Amino acid sequence: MIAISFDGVVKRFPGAARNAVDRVSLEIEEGELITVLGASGSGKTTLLKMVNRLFEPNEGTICLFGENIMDKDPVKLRRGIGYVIQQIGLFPHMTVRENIATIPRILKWDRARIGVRVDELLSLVNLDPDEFRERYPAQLSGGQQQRVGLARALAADPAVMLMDEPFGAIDAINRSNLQDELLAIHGKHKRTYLFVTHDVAEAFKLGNRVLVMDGGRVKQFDTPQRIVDDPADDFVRELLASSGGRHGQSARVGN
Amino acid sequence: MNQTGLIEKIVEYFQNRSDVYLEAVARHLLISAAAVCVACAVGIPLGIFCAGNAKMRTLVTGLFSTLRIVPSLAVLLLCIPLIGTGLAPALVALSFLAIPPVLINTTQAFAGVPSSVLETAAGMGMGGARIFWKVKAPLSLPIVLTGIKTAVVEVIASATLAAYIGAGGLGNIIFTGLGLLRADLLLIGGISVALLSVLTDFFLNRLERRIVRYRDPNAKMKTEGRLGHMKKQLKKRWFGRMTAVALILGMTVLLSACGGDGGDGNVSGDDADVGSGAPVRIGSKDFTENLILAEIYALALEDKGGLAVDRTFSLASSSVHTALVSDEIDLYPEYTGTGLLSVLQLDLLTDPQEVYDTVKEAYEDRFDLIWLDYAQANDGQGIAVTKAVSDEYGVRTISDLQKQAANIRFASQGEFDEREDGIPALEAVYGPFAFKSSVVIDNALKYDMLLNGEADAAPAYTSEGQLVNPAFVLLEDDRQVWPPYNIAPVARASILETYPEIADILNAVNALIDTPTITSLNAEVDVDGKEYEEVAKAYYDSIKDSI
Ligand SMILES: Nc1ncnc2c1ncn2[C@@H]1O[C@H](COP(=O)(O)OP(=O)(O)OP(=O)(O)O)[C@@H](O)[C@H]1O
Ligand SMILES: [Mg+2]
Repeated sequence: MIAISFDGVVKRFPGAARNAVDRVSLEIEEGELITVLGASGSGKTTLLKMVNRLFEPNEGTICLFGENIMDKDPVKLRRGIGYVIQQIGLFPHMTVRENIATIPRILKWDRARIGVRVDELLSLVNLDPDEFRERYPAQLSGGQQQRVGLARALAADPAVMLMDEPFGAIDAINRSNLQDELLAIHGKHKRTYLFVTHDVAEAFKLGNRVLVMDGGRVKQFDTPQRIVDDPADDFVRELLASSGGRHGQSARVGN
Repeated sequence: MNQTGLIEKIVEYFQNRSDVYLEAVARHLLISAAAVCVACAVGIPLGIFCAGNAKMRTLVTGLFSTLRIVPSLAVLLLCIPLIGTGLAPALVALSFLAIPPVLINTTQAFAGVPSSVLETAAGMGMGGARIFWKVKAPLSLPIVLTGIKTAVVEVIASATLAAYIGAGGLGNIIFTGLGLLRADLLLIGGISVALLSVLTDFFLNRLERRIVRYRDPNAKMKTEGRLGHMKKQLKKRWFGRMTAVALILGMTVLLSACGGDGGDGNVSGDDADVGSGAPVRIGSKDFTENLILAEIYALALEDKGGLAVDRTFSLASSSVHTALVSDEIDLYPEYTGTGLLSVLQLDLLTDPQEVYDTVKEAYEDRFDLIWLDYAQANDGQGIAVTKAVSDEYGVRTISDLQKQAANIRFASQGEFDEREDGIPALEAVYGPFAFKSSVVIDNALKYDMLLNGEADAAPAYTSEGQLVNPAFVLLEDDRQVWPPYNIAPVARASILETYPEIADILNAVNALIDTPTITSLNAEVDVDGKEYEEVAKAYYDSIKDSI
């Protein structure tokens, strides 16, 4: 089943000289983990934010599981979509437990179910529930905070996860661990992930398909292997070269 | 008045006047709390609005930052012409003082909620109202609270000034202390205000720490820099407050050093224990007529009532009422018109009985003070002309004066020409006064000018001593523009209960005092240069058998 489809999508910010996202059409199957790769300003964030309607396209349509997202109430739509960003954005005045329980509470789950779910999610992101449950975000390291951010986004088991450079500000060792954990979580539940990064190695390690963007347009959308074997144009070729061939060692290439 | 005397006085104050003291504290807190509530009701919504609107933000915060520079006393005084004196203008002024810290902090707090937090909140499916109540409001609360705290501390200190315009509170004790030159009252008032300030600061800090428990010591929240700044500001205010306390203490020491003779000869400590029981404390204002009257009352109570009398004379006109209300004196001679217009701030009335009935009822209601019977004597506003001019142009009333204005040279101290109850009031009823000429002179020189033939008419008080001179004629206010200022003792209800005879004695004395009588007594002091005690004694001796 097609989880996410873009059809002729254009986003132009008021007063901008060119389109931030320019005539993007593509389809994503349910259960895929798509990484979006591109230089700064290429429109990755804009593309992502149109899926949960934090931005609205000027042209074209976006459908989730065949339904046009413009036909839905944006607040309800977002409850079915997980959202993780680089700045994390945990609520500083709430404990880890309260942060993770935000959406389940809005959805009126009963207390017991919320309690079980919080512990389950903390374990999933490799945090000991008993140790971290009652901490405030200020009492966590950056990596731990992003684990909680991920757990919070996963709380209501959304069908689609949007992640905008979630590991961008985390040190190399932690980032590598987090990437492995994310792959494990994705592998377990087979939800559809859209993961933005400008780190070529990360994109190739995580994505079963990589969406390469430049200047708001899609340059190439294919598996890591085929992108390496057959880069669409000079831009993609340069992008691969700039990462110093490290992609060659990444998980998904050569499988 | 040495140091031990001072401490004894303070102890005595708390033994005898703890009810007055507690009431002052309660009122002080009440005024402050009300002002802070108003400031929150205005400042918080406005601040939230400004936070979401950059243009409004610069405009409003700029405006209020500027307003903050205006001293609170100035705001208080500016309020008087707009809303009169008493509680309302004090509240308005204090609220204005309290709005800026609340408003500015609210704006900063709401504008400072990290955008990443708002973005994830919206992204996970929280609606606008939910984001406001669950995210924005709790995150802004600490900074808003800091603003409220600043406002509270500022308001408590400034509420002292509210007494200046009759709103009561601890300022009453301080102003009474200033008026009576009483170091003990200054100390009690000053230290109480400082203590209240420090205590509320302490409790609000504790409250804040409870609410903001997530602000861990090792937390590096974005708000920290701002909070640190606020703390520095608070420290500065602390410094200011301590300076104020130091000033009050300094004044106190100075006053104690001056001792009993720091005042003037009028503060005559009459220690002769004439009667038994607590003495009756008689006060007076600081001008001849009031001193003579107060002394006559004192003599009558000592002689006819066998009572001991404490004389606390020569208080500033502005503080004598406060002294009576705060139980520093038991009675003093007052004027019906002053009670109506200055103390009660009511509209002008001109019928003497009506004025008296109005003030009597209102004083009893509001202050638990009793007006005894009023004397015929009226120390009101008037105009005097020379006998020569009066005869030449037939000027006996103010109506006559208006008709003959073209022939008359007017001399006044200037203020009379502008004051609402001066020439403008006269012109509204009698028609325009087109004087032949009009000069401005010092009030003390007006009679000399009339006697030297340099002017023909001048404003006068109807019982002024100089008017006994046959060279002057006091004109009749034939169309009753001016309110009556009949003399009557105003007393605390409690003293009249303790000594019921006071009312009978003073009523009998007052019945004998008419305008010519008091005018000639004034003349003996102001024209002949006698001491007021001597004049009062001689007069009392002449009437004591007819009481
Ligand atoms: N809210 C906005 N208003 C106006 N222009 C915007 C806005 N957000 C993004 N843009 C512009 O749209 C273009 C694409 O921005 P976008 O944030 O999608 O880039 P990105 O690929 O996510 O870059 P980065 O890797 O730096 O995050 C940029 O030129 C940017 O300046
Ligand atoms: Mg981006």
